Amino acid sequence: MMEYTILCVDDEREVLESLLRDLEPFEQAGFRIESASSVSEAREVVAGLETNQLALVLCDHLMPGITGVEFLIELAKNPNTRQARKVLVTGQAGLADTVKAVNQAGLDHYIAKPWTAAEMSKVVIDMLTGFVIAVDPAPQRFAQYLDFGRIMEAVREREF
Amino acid sequence: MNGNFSDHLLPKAKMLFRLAILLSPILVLLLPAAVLGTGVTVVEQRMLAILVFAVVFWILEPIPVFATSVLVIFVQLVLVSDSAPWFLRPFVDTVSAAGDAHQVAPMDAAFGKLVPYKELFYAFASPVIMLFLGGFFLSGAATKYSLDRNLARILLKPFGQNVTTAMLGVMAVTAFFSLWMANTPVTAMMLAICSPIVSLFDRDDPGRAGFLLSIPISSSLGGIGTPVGTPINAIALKYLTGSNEIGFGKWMLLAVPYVIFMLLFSWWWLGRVFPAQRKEVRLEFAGTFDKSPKAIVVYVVFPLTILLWLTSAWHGVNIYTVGLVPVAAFLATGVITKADLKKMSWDVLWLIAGGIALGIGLENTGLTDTIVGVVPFSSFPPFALVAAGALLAALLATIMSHTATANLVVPVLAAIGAGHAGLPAVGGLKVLLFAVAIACSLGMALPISTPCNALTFAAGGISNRQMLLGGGVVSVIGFLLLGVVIAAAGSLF
Repeated sequence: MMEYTILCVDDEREVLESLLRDLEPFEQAGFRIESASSVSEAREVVAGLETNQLALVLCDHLMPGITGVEFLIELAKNPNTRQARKVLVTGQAGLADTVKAVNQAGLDHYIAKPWTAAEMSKVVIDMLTGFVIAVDPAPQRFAQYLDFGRIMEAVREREF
Repeated sequence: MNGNFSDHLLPKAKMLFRLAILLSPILVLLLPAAVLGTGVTVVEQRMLAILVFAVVFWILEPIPVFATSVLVIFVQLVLVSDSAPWFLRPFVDTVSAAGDAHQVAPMDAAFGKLVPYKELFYAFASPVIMLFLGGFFLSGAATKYSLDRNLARILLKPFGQNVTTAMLGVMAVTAFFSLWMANTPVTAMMLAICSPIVSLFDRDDPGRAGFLLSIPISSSLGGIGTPVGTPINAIALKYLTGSNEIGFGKWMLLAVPYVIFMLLFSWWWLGRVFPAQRKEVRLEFAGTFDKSPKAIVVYVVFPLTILLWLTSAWHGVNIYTVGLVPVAAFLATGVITKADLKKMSWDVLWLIAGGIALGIGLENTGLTDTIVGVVPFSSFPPFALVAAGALLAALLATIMSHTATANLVVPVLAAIGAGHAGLPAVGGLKVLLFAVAIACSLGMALPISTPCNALTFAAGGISNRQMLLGGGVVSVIGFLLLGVVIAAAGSLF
């Protein structure tokens, strides 16, 4: 059984730590949580993953060097990470960048800083549920941690 | 499987042990005739090897159960059919007028009787298979047009806001759908519908596990109620012909009261061992019925098929032909499309076909008669035979596929029962096979026992212990009750 990864990318240490704290419950569900303080670090993490192993990316926009949106476009073009759910966690992405993220990276969600733990948890559950239904052959093993009803509905519709 | 005794061996020894078991059919094939005794023909010895192959592969599952089924048919065609290669048959090596190089020699008593190859191919389209195809079409159409989900919501409404009565409602509705539809999709559907209720429980509330477990248990119990409720019942029905016939209505008349009693017991037991801390639930179900013409076709054909099944004796169309009513109706009206066909559980049909072919081979080669002749089954008290058969079925079904269990146990017991002079005293062959079929459905103590259990175990985070406490106890009580029913009411059959 594949172990899926959630990747958090932010250059500010406090933001990254707060993100990791909010994601802790998902470790119990069997997701591996990786953090990166720059896009180059994030690329290293991605390079070590198998196809479809990256489930979710929570990415800041404004970072030194390459922007979050550019990185998400890279992931969308990479066949190994195309299925990953992509979320921008930012306070600074303007309209043009956001439009670019939606159109070219298939951005799944936009979370504005600062966020609440409840809001983050809701978005992550929604994103991971969509991902495991799309990718995993037996998504029921995640049902108790994610959206139970949606996963069971998907299992039911898979085969008569 | 958990707790397998071979787990304690060293990994290498364990692998060799497993390999030896998997190769045992070849050993049976190569045994010298003297070991088996003089009465066993060459063909019977080959058939015995195929039976051992089926037992070993269906239990240990080195390949999927349906793949074993197809191999059972293929190996029979190659080893014991009249289409086997010429060097595996007695032959006279002359060129006939028709140009056939190898003519089959006249019947050789020591060689035995080959099975007509067409008989084996018929297994793929046996009436039982067609009955199940009909069941898949009903399930598929109900799922596609949300008939099951919407109806379940309406049926659940009167059960109120108390956790205990809501659970009874969920159990009754689950069992009702399992009478007509495959158990696993019903379990998935009911788990989906009940997700708002499940989420109301705290994670450590025992009531949560009880509520979740009530769904697969009711689904397995519901499957007992009609001949189309599970493939097991249809497999048993295949051997219940002529004077042993149990009609659709008769089956329900005998099985439904048993199902109702077992549901009530399970409800009481689950409430007792998993007492809910949360007392109230909200049963707020929204949803509207699809009113498109195709959905209306489903609303009409589904109950019509059930009605035709129940009245089979009156109108004279047998239940297998009625099974093709939804197939014909849904294909003609486009309710079921090519894409839907691809979503059907064809593997289940192939699994059943393998069992039917195994039965055909056992009977046509004469192996069952030989086994019945060698083992003095007739000296067994009839009630003990029924109890032992049902116990074997329930134990096997707990650790392996229910349908594969029925595939193995039903044909052998049908032959033993047919030759047992004392069996009519407890109601005859029909009681034996009816009890065995129910016993197969009672295998629900472990997560691996049924796909419904596996689904709930994975989705709900149920522990092995909880499953054993719920499903295991229900199995045991169900088995004991079955004994009482057979002892008391055998003559009703």
